[in-house]
Amino acid sequence: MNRLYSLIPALSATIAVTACSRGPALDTQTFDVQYLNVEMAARMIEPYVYGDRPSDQGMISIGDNVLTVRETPDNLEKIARVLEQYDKPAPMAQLHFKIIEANGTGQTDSVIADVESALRKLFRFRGYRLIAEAMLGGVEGSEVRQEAGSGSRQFVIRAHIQDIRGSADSGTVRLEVELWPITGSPSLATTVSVGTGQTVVLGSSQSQQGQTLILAVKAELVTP
Amino acid sequence: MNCAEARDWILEADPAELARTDDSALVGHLGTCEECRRVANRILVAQAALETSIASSLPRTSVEDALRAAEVRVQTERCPRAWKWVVPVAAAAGIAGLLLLSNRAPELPGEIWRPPPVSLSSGVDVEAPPGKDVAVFDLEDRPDIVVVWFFDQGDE
Repeated sequence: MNRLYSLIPALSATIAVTACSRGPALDTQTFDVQYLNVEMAARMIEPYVYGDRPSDQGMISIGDNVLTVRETPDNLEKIARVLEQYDKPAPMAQLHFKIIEANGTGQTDSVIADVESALRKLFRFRGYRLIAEAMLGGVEGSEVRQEAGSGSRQFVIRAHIQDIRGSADSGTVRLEVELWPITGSPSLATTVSVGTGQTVVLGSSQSQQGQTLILAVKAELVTP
Repeated sequence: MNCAEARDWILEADPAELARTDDSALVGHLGTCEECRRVANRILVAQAALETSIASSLPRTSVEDALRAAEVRVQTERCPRAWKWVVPVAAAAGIAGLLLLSNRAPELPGEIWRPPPVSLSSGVDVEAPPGKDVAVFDLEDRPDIVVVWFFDQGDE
């Protein structure tokens, strides 16, 4: 019996050493990556994967639009939450352009009543006329262009969507925009941020043949 | 008025005078002296920058406040080189001056009121094309519409 008591400390030490050398229980899970670049997604979750444990290191394996991760269940849950938050379709900016001509004819145009009432508070043109409208859409980084108008009043609108931030109800679209007559040089070229639901009216004191062109742009964000 | 006198008056002038939309001896001199005109334009731009800076750090000045400030400014006897008064009053008077200008704008067919080179808003991030200045107008009753107007630098 005494011999048995003498074995207890040694047994305890053995158990302790075994417990210390064993790492945390790891599990393996594969995640679909639908919208993010899979390598970018891997970099995003890298901080949650511990590859420097003395034993049972965590690891990431990159596949074809999938990430397989070996980590603790807790960390796998965190990774799932991160991917759920960020692996979403990129929002698309919808841009509604109106090309307006300011002139001396005293015309009014009900289609542009909202913009016209704003312009009348600032400028002394006698009339404003809608020449053409165009709807363009694209994701961040895309460049879109469209011809608008008819006859001698044909124009090209080019928009480079530089940056999209926020959500549909409180987002901002940063745009590089150009407007020019189809047979002429650019009438308007600028870079501007447009809030969602906001209409930005762009104009210039430079007139062509007694007419001044005004470009109104309204931006909306759409998540596919 | 010679250039030295004009420079003194420029420091105290209303934006309307600097933009040469008012009528005064200073405006007459600016019409004939390109160098002084350049100085006046630089002050207008500086006033706009100051106004933008104030607007971003303080509650926005209402139109009524700006007009009141402009009235006070008009009633105040001019004191050359009173720098400490110039800066805040000029910022308020800048806004008021523009509003007054818009009320006096001509009614000729197709004629454009060319705003002086100041920005009335700091809420929109816009880049003016090379060689252009930009004025950004927020409309109090239409917060969903912002008007951005480009004009040639030194446009008169």
